[in-house]
Order: sequence, then C-alpha cells, then structure tokens
Amino acid sequence: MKYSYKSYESLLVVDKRLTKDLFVEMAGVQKGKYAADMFSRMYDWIFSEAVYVEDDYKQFYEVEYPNLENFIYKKYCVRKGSLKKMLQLKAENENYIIIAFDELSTGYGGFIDFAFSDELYDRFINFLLMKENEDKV
Amino acid sequence: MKIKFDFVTNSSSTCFVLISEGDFNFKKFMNSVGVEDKSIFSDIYKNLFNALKDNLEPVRQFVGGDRWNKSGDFNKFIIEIFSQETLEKIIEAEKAGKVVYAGRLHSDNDSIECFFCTDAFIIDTEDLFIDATNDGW
Repeated sequence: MKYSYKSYESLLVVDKRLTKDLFVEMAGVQKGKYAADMFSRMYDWIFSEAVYVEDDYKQFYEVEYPNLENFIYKKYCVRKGSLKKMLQLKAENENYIIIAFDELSTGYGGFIDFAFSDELYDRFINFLLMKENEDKV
Repeated sequence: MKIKFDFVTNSSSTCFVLISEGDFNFKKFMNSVGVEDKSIFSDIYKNLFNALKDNLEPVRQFVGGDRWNKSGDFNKFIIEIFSQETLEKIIEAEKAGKVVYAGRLHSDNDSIECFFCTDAFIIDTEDLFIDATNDGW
C-alpha cells in the first residue's frame, strides 16, 4: 500500500526482511546484467533514505504521541480511512513495516511513474510485501 | 485512474544504437538484459524489446535524417550523442558486414517505454550491443 502524504513523499507498507540481494533475486534477473542493475537502483531509490516510521516513533516521539496510529495521523496527515487500511495491512504479517519514502531520494525521478504506474502498481506493491516469495527468506 | 495535480512536461524521445550478432530476436535480448523466463517482470522487458524492434533504422540513414545532425558529419554526431567507443564499435561492426541500427524510444507511448526512454544504459554482451546512454534527461 502506498499513501502520498506530500508531493513526492509517500508512506509504504513493506516487508522488513527485504534486502537488496533478495529484491534482485525475487525480480528474476541475473546479477551483472542491465536488469539486475536496474532493480538494484530501484531498491536504493526506495530504501536509501527511507524513514522506518515505527522505529522513528519509538525513538523520538513516543513521549509526545499516545500511539503509532496517532503519530502517523498527526505527523503525516494521513486520512483516517487510509490510515486504518494501512494499519490493518501491517497487522496481517509481523514482518510488515511502514516506511516514509522520498520519491526523489536518489536525485532520479524516473522510477516514480514506472514502478507505481497503473500497469505495475499492484504487482510492485505485492513485490514489496514479498507475497509469493516467503520461501526465499 | 490517476489525477496528476502538479506540473506536467512536454513529451520527447531519446535515441539508441543497436548492434546484433545475427538477428535481433527476443531470446537473445532477454539473455543479454539478464531476465529469466520466470521473472514476474519479464513483460517489462518484452515491452522494451518491442519498442526497440519497432523503431530500428539503419544507423547511417537514421543519422542522415536526424534534425539535430546540424553538421552532417556522421562521426561527430555519434561521438556527441554517444561516445568515441560506440563510434568505434559501429565502424568495426560495419567492417564485419553487420547492419548497425539506431532508433528512438518515446516518452509518450506508455509508462514502461517512458521509463526506458529516460534511463541511460549500455547492454554489451557477445550477442548484442545497445548504447542508450543518450536516454538520460
């Protein structure tokens, strides 16, 4: 699930076990070739400057906000219906986490309209949740 | 459906050079790019293959008719748009009797071709050489 809380900044629910090696392996591409380089850069685009929202909350904001839901609602201004869906999705799997992600993080915006295009959106969102790839961990 | 609420830009295209050992076919392309048959993203590269294949033109014909080729000098144009190395590869391939192609990827066909249109890359394997470094925006 992706929620754009600001222009070019989004919250994403992802599987915390997703490493770069796993990301490239799950994509079904061969290391050392263009497709692997492309997916490697895509991983960096998402995770290189990602803020791990729950860690951030526990480390810096727990005294200020009563719970994670209230923190996300107020800090990221997420609509209540979307926030409920996001937290429901997170609760489905103990490995799911929420990250705040800067879509211009690596200074390259080429992936934005590609990974989250209508053609790829569902597939890519499920890919980040490692659906159908549990056996690879 | 998506509604884009910030700025939009005009569409454009970028060019590439392609040298193939024998026919330029899908199997050879997928091997060179490094995508396994089982990849859930193989259709992306099939889309790229079709975009390349549908836009091939013999390189000298392509350069001769390009509106940006102000000087009319083939070598100068290739070095400016690509590199000295790519020019040398073209000349070497032509001496070996191969047909060297060039073409364009377009930003306004679909989101997948648009991504590759803006991603600068080189694919250099025994069977296939593609210089798409002109694709950086």
